[in-house]
Amino acid sequence: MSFERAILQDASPPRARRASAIRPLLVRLLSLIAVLLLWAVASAWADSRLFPGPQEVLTFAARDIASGEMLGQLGITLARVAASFFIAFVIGSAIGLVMGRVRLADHVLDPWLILLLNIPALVVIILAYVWMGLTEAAAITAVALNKIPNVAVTLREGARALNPGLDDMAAAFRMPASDRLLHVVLPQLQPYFAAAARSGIALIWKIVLVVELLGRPNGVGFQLNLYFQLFDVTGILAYTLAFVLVMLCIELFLVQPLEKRATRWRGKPA
Amino acid sequence: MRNAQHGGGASLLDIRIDSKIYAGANGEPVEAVRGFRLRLEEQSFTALLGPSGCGKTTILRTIAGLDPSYQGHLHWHAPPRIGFVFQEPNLLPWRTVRQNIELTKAEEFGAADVDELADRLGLSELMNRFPRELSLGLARRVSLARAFASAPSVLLLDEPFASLDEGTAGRLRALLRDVRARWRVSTLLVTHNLREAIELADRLVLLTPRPARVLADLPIALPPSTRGPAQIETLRTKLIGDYAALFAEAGLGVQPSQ
Repeated sequence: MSFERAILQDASPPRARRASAIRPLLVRLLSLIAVLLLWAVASAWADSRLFPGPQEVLTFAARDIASGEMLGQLGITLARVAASFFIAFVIGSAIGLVMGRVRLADHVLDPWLILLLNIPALVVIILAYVWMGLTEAAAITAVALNKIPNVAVTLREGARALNPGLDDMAAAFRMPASDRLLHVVLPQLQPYFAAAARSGIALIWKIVLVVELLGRPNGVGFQLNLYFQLFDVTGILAYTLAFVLVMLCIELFLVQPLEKRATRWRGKPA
Repeated sequence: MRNAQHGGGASLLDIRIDSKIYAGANGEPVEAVRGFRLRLEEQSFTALLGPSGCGKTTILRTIAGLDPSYQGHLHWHAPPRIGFVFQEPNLLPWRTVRQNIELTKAEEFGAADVDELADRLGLSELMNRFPRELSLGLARRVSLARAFASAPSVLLLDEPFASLDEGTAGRLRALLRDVRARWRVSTLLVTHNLREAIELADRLVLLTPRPARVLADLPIALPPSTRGPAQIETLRTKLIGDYAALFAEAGLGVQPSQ
């Protein structure tokens, strides 16, 4: 378990534990500062346009944020991440659930999944652009196709692990199908959804950048390509770090609190 | 609820299971039930008594419609509503006790009924707890409450007192008798414990070892109010004495503790 989660899950730690929890935070902070210092020193020593220091990258980012340029590009990329994440999640979950519950479906679809899992993301992107044109739909489809197999495989495990006792309960009491799905099946799959979401967010935004670089006229990936043509490393680093920051914030302030809320009934881990 | 029709003796269900086969651990076919016939009366409390693994649970699951692959026929005289208490409590761990009871609650079982039911079962203080905070005995009570709140026309109990210490099991039996006196419902109990069957049921159906069929169908003429430990023990000794051969055939004759 990561350190941040340990903090989040422990609502009122005894004083001794709190002290021991703060120390690693300090160490981590110092380590981060050390990296920045090392970067600054190295770039000063190199003294090259191709290796800017942290202050130059920060200045660049501040200027682009002030002009509204950077936030716009971040927003566009984020929207693509969200759209493809949503599509991959809905389709992947449905496929995974059916595969986990119906043996025939598992046998039929399993080779497709293995195939898809082993096709490089780049190939899927190129084919989507070739067949669908350089369109938004092609971009989103390509990203979603890359993620669907992962979601399906994860949720298949979840569907296989469903508690048959709860199934019997729902059947004996003649629960309507919608109630069964909502109150019996989906809550059992929550950990699998969480796992798929975590790995999904990490994977998807990286693929979205490639998709943008290859065939979209905007977004962070497009900007990276632009600055690459100009050999503007400052711009590349500014946009990359800004987007990493955005994704970290989503993980920290959206995914983790949601997960914590959804697992309240579990109580504190032993 | 059906608490108006006392002891009518009307038929509730005719069960005929000619054969039920399931795949054993190594995939080989195992016949769990063969030639099982039973008529259940409205408002009756029937105990199916048989040795462990004889197919009792299979019969119960078949009646509940959980296992459609069998040869035979269930003839319900009115569309049934099933209340089931499983061996495992099978509570939803992400719902509180109240939310678990309310999920399958019948509409005509009102909020006041839920409160009274919780009160009778000693659950009033626990309604906002999650299942992981409950002992097995308490979880079984919640499972019982859930079944009663679904206003069933037939209540199926699958070894609901198993793996409890005798004190806890005895309290739970007393609670079941109390709640069932308040909300009368036809009940079918599966058990391997003769004492338990005598304490609760008005009819004892003795089953053979697997494949299960009916070996004997005995009324228990003791009025429920007079079933103290001494009377239960007396009747138990008498039954075992009178039907020694049957109990031996059922595989229950040599267990003095039961």
